[in-house]
Amino acid sequence: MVNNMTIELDLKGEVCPYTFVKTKLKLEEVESGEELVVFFDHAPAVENVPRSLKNEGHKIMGIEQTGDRLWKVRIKKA
Amino acid sequence: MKLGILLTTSPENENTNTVIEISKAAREQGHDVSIFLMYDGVYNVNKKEFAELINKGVEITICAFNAEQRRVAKVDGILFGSQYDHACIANSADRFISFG
Repeated sequence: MVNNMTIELDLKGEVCPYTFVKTKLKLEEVESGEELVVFFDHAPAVENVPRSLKNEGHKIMGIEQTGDRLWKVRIKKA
Repeated sequence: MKLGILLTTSPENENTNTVIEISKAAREQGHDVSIFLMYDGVYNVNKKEFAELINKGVEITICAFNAEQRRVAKVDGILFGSQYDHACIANSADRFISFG
């Protein structure tokens, strides 16, 4: 889903390692410099997906808890 | 040399002692050792002799998802990571041994 040139990806219900795999696949559809917003409800993923993406050169613009076991991660593609 | 080790069995299995001794021997010879724990292997962080490998410079990473499933509490000095970290360890190792 595209929302004002920020692409969103809903990964609620997904667990490791698919949280990382699906985020990475979606990032391939995003232009360099554009933002991808991913929604998680899996606590281990909220720590590990941003750290792994940072390791791959992408920028983490923000990690926000939006509800009980609900997180929103903003990623800027390298 | 960089040695990578995967351990997926729980501390009751003799694999744990084997991994401990191999890691100690490798470190004594100056090699880098990185261990990745998953499945029941995550329980090894609660075994004193295993956790002491950290003090010998062994890098230990654990699958945070499997740890959450098994209610294994966080341990200082051990990265609660993911399969991404497992892949990085396997990718950077000169030798990789899997105990399962």
